[in-house]
Amino acid sequence: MKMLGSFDLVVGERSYFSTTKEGIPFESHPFSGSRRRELRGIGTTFEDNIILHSHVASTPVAFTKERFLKTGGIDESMKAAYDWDLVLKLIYQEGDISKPGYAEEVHLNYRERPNSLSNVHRESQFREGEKALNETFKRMGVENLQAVFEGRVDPGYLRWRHDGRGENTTR
Amino acid sequence: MECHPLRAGAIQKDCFFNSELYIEETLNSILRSANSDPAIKTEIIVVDAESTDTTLSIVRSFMERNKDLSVKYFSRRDSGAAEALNFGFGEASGRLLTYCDSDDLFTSKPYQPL
Repeated sequence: MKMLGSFDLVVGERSYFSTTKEGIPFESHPFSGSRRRELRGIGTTFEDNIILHSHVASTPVAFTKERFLKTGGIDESMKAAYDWDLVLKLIYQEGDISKPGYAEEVHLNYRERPNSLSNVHRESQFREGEKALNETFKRMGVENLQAVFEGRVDPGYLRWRHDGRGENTTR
Repeated sequence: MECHPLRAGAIQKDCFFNSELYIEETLNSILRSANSDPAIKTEIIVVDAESTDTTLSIVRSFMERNKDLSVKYFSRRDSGAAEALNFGFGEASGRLLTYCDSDDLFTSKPYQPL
């Protein structure tokens, strides 16, 4: 079986579980608040989810090393949402968009626990995630995330075409 | 066979600082995933932020039990999870990469796009 098919990047599904072994009670799912609801309200497609929500999901991904090397690596100043930075960089390079494939099965069971990075850096999740998204928008010549919220930029601007695999173009 | 990619699990910091409670379960899940498709040669990259618990001995024991599997272990000063991931991906010798935290569990599903 040839993994990834013709794609440079394939995004899978994840599930959450919380069999924490530390015996410390904690509040399940750290990602909440108005900003998240705002993000959720923007889009409903697979593309919207990848672009706008991937940082809240610990999205399991598989990708080629060649594609990773083109990203220049994850922003090492990020304490949280660095996985979102990775996914966005894998997809969007200046003048080079790689449409990700989607594998619908669950590839990773993500453990929720009190001292996970997500919980430790709870406050900076969205700040850093938005930083990664704004950097992506800048690379692609789009204003910023705020412009999307204010309706001045259609988030669909960053989408890839549905017709044909690996067609590296925006609409 | 056209494709014999290595799949590298770059397992990073949080996960990999004092992860004795979880790491064996995580490594075993990667092993099950690897065994689910023998055509894919798997490499595991472990990036540890100088754990002070029994994490290292658990990883060593896993390596002893699975000598057919390529496992690279690195203990590095903690410079953050992003740096650990960049390092791990750089060390991977295969064509295909994926990663998880040390407390997450891989399923045995291949990344087969729809």
